[in-house]
Amino acid sequence: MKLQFKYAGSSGIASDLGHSRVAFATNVLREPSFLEGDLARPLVVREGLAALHAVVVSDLKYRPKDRLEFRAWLEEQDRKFLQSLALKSEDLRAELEQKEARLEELRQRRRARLAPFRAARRQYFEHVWTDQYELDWILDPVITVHPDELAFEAFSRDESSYGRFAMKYDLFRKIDAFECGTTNVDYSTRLYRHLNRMRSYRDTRFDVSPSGFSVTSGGGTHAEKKIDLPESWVRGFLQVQSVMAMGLTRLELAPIDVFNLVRFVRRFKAKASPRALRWELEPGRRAKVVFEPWEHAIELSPAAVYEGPKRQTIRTWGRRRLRILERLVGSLEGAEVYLAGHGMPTIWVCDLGDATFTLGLSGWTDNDWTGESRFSLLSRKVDVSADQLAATYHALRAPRFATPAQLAEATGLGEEHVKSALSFLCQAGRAMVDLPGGVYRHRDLFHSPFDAKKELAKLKAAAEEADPKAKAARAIFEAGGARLIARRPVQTGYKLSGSVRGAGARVRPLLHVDHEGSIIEATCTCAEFEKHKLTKGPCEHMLALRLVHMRRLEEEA
Amino acid sequence: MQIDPVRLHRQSGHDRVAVVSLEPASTPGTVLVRVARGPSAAQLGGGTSYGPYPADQAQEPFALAVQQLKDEGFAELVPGWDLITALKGGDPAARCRAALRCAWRGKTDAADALHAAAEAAVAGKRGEACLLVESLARLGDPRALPLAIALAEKKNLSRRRSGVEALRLLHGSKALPDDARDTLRAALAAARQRGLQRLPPAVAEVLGAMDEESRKKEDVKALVKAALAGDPRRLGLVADVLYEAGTPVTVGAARRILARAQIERPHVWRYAKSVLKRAMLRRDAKTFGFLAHAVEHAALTSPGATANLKSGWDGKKKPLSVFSPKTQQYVRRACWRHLRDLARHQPAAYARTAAEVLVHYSPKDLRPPKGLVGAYGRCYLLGRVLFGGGERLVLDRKLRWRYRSPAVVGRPKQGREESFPALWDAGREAYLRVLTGAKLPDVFHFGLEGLERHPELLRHASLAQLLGLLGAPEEFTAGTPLVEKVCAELDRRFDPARPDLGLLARLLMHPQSGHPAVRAIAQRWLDQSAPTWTREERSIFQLPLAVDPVLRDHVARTLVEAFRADPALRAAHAEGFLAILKQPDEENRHGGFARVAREALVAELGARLELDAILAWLDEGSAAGRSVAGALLAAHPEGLKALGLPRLVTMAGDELAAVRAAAHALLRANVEALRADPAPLFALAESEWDDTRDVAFALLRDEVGLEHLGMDGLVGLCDSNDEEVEALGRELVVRHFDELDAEQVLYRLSEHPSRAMRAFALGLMQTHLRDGFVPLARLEGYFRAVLFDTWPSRALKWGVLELLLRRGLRDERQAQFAAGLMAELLRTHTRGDFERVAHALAVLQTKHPAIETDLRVRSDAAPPAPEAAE
Repeated sequence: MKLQFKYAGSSGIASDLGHSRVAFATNVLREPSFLEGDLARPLVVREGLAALHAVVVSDLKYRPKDRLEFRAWLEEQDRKFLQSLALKSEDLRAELEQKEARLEELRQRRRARLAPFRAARRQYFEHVWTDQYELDWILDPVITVHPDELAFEAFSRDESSYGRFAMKYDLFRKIDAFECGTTNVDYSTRLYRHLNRMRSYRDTRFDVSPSGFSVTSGGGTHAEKKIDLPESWVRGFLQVQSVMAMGLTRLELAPIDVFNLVRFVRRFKAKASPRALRWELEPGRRAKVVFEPWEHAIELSPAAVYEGPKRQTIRTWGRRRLRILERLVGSLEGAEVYLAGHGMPTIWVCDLGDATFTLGLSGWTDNDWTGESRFSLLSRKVDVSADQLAATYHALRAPRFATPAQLAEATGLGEEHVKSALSFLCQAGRAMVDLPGGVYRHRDLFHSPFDAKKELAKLKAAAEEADPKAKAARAIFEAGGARLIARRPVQTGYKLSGSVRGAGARVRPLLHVDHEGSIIEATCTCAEFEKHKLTKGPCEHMLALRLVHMRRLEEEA
Repeated sequence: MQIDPVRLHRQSGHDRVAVVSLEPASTPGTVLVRVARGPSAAQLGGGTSYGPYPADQAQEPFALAVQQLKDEGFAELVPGWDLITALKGGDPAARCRAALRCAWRGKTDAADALHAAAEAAVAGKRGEACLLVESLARLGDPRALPLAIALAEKKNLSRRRSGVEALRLLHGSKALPDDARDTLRAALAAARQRGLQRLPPAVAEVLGAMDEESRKKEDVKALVKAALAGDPRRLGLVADVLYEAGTPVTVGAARRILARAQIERPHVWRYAKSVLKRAMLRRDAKTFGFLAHAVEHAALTSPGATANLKSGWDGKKKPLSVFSPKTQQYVRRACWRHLRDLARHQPAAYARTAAEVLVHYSPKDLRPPKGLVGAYGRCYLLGRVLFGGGERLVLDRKLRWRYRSPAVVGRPKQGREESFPALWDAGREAYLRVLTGAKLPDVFHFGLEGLERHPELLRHASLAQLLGLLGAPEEFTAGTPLVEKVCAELDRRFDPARPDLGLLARLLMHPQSGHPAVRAIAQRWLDQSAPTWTREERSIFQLPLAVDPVLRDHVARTLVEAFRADPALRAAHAEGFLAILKQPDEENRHGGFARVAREALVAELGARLELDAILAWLDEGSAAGRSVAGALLAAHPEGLKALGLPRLVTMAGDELAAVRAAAHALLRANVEALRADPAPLFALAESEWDDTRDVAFALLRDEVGLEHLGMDGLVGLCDSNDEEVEALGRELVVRHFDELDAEQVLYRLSEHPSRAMRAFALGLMQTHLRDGFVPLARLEGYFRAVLFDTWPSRALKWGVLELLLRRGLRDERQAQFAAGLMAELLRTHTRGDFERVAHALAVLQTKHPAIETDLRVRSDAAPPAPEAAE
């Protein structure tokens, strides 16, 4: 996907002795959203944006070292060794040594001669890194102006971390004007360094507007970026919403808990596997976090009492990404962590008072949000028509944020349909889940007009292509290969036991689904589940069993 | 009794040559009769020995052995007899060989036989006519003229070529009568006209418009450009026709065209071969060397091709093999035969021609060694020339050089391996050509060894040759004294009293003038001849363009001294300097002029330019020009008004040091303006240029006082993200702390995110924070930031804990505040922090029992000593 950004000015911060003006230049190719106001607590904004910067530049994907030079050196050593074995004559050996010395001398002279060139090349690459890299690689954060908050969203380059910094309007001393909408803001490493100059003792003006700083005369543009965005990046960004809409295990943390976790990650780096962060949860007791391989356990504060029904152990990887939260620890008033399961994503919600920072981390760094993890499959969707989708979209667009119940009331659709429609909208980048706020928010991630029919057709086509498991489950269900053995209503929904025969032998899936049909917990006797658990999403047997359950529910209704 | 060996030969059979000789046997007084025979004189076997016979009776068996060979068809060779016989004989191949021999040996006594054979061949339209006429012309016989004219008028390429080349050979003959000379000129002119008609019109037009006798590179380039713009299939033809014309321009163009064309391609090869043959006939070493190498290089990669071409044999169009391996081998061997014949019959030309061959070999001709075939294995001609006299290498049937055995792979420490070493010594100037043109290390070292054997060569070398030697690749000259020797020779020729300024200029413009030895003599010459060249206008405007920056700087420095000492000189040349500096300078070569202008001509140039013109120059000039404009602007203290502070700040960040220096001068000259508005200094203090930062720092530190900066200014410096600026801010805060509102400074500094500034703030807090709960509570953000920093300075964190404890011990409200913060940290998993926090809380809770935290202090525990904590 090719994205184009065009800015009439640049983002930056200008300070004189008593005042500061923070200006974010917005993409002039997007809808003209803006916000102008005076900040009451600039330091919170500073720390929040610093954490967002850490998300933007985060790239911890494993990249094998380039060992070509080393191998060449090794071969050279081998050659020399063999040569020395072959040289029996002392004279020849002495001559060889002399020539080697001469060669080394020539190499040194060459190094000295090339030194200015190398220095210039280094400077050039530094220039590319500081000035050009951002133009080609860093995707500018998305900014959304809502009636109650201003939110920045960013997704890391390695497609494994998602950050959202939401500033409530209470964080402003006054707001002069704003226009709701979504756009991108000009962003750079230099801007991040400038933002570190925000201080509370200066009156800080906060502007989000197309002009930003240093508008060029004659209506010219300050900068243009054209970024070829990987499809996986976009899908990952959207999958985050699917995870947030799932039934997640929630833990409340005190600032000291976050401090202890981040500090440990900062201080120690495991050189050998296992490297998981193991969450040991026992009902009614404080959760414990164990750092592998040292088995160093950190018992969380009394706030982090696990209230789930049964004991469970969840392992997550890629814990170094927690360092994104470093700048926030000092400003934290509390935090929540949402666990999706073994090897599944975790969502960290940091409470900064009038601001919230949400950090979504995939199951592990190399397992991006898209890959083979079909989180969207975990949530159930009923079929939604284009009209229903359009009605939900417009109902959400008017107030900009709402709960599913409010939208159901506004559209006259059932809550089931509204939730499914919202799920589709999230996948299309037209809405997002506000986990700490418990609402859905309108947010057009890309600048294109909304056409419900096209969006629906595109999503279904993508689902057919991208979700072979859903297709296989539908085939099993329609062939009558799935049947319910037991179905027990529980407080949170239903517990299902079934027998499914797909392409292979008959297997026994066990599901725990909520009242909406979203999978809370699941096991299966199939090989795929044995190998991957739920890290690659539910298997086709679970999905087929859920389809049987859904038909039963409809029949009962 | 002495019996000379008898050499016999016959025209058919396996063995063509036989030698009968006597040699001493092991028994004293006896001899053996040895009969050696083989396909050629070079391939005689060990032979058969008969005897032993008493020495005085050996004549009979010796004569018997000779008779037996004669019975087999062998005949004794009589010098000279065979050539004339062959020319008169019926074998065309033998006639050709004999004609060739006659031409090489200059055997005018065979001219009659040769003429008869040539006349018959031309009349009979036989293929050998070409060679016979060429040979006759080579002997300078006037009888060749009508035959050559007849051939030159033919359409067939080989006949036409032979005819024209024979005419050219006759052109140099002294035996030609005057009337024949007119005929010859007319024939040559007609041949040239016919050639021009074969050229593409564009090339003919370019050729017609130029003076062919000139040796200008531009003319050659124009011809080559016109040829290359045309049909690529006609490149060969164009090259051949141009070479046929034989003028310096056309010959140079022909070489260049062939260098750009792929000679092995069907439409080019026959013409390339033609040019090669012409070069051999003309003894044109340069073209021969180039083409001989080109053929060998093409043979490395091309297996040849088959194309539908008109046959030179029967004139029919049919598929013909072009540049086949057989042809390649034939031509490569023919090239060596030509060199060998030169060595035998024109020894003076051998070394020169061989050098021209050697200089074209480059690393592209080398192949990875494989077995006994070394890197040079595929370079047949190079091997013949460089290693043909040694015994280390032998040729295989594919014309590859291979080492005789693994033991001889290394270069011999003594002895010479080249073919005809005596001829190299005789034509020693060829070594200079090898040295100036070598592209392979072995070729270069061959030349270097020759130079070491003949050190007097440098003394007789021309200036161009000496400068060419300086241009040898550094990887070849490294570790050799060549450059130093050449420099010594150049130095010997340079007379400081009457300096050769042309030589000085050429040395300064030499690409290798950065070599330490070259630079040393150039600097010495510049100094020694300064009184002369600094007065000569041409040198003043030429030498500052020196290639080497050090020399350029030296020239500029010398000129500056001369200009400073002589106002007349300045006045005379200021206008010229200004004109040069206002020109575009994309290659950045005007740095020397700029330096002279900045350091010696500011007054003169300033008088010629108004402030507006200087500012315009500053905006639009070249780098050198802008630096001068900056220097001129610095002499205008009032320039700040026209420039404005924002533009001055931009200037201070300019990449040109001179422009920055001008900005610095203006800044220093306008301290009052900066006192009124010090904001630009804050920006300059964070400049990426050290010199600009130094100026800003100096002004902030010493010139703009606290009364102008104020507390906001000082804290503004501390707020920087630049460590040096932060440090300056800290320095100024400490210096003026007594004059500032301490509490305000502390609160402001506490918000800085850097650890260094936090530590600085803590130091101030420990001594200057006002007592009481309110001042302490206002710093909560700071305390939290330090205590919850995941990678803090241990001293800083513990210092904060200590401060909190100390303040908590003073009163209960402060203790509540401190305990609240520390209680949050009580669950830390950092042992050192935990111990300190627990201790501090215990102390506080003991002192103020009303304070409650998660820490429980046992009642039976020994009471802590608050004084100790205090």
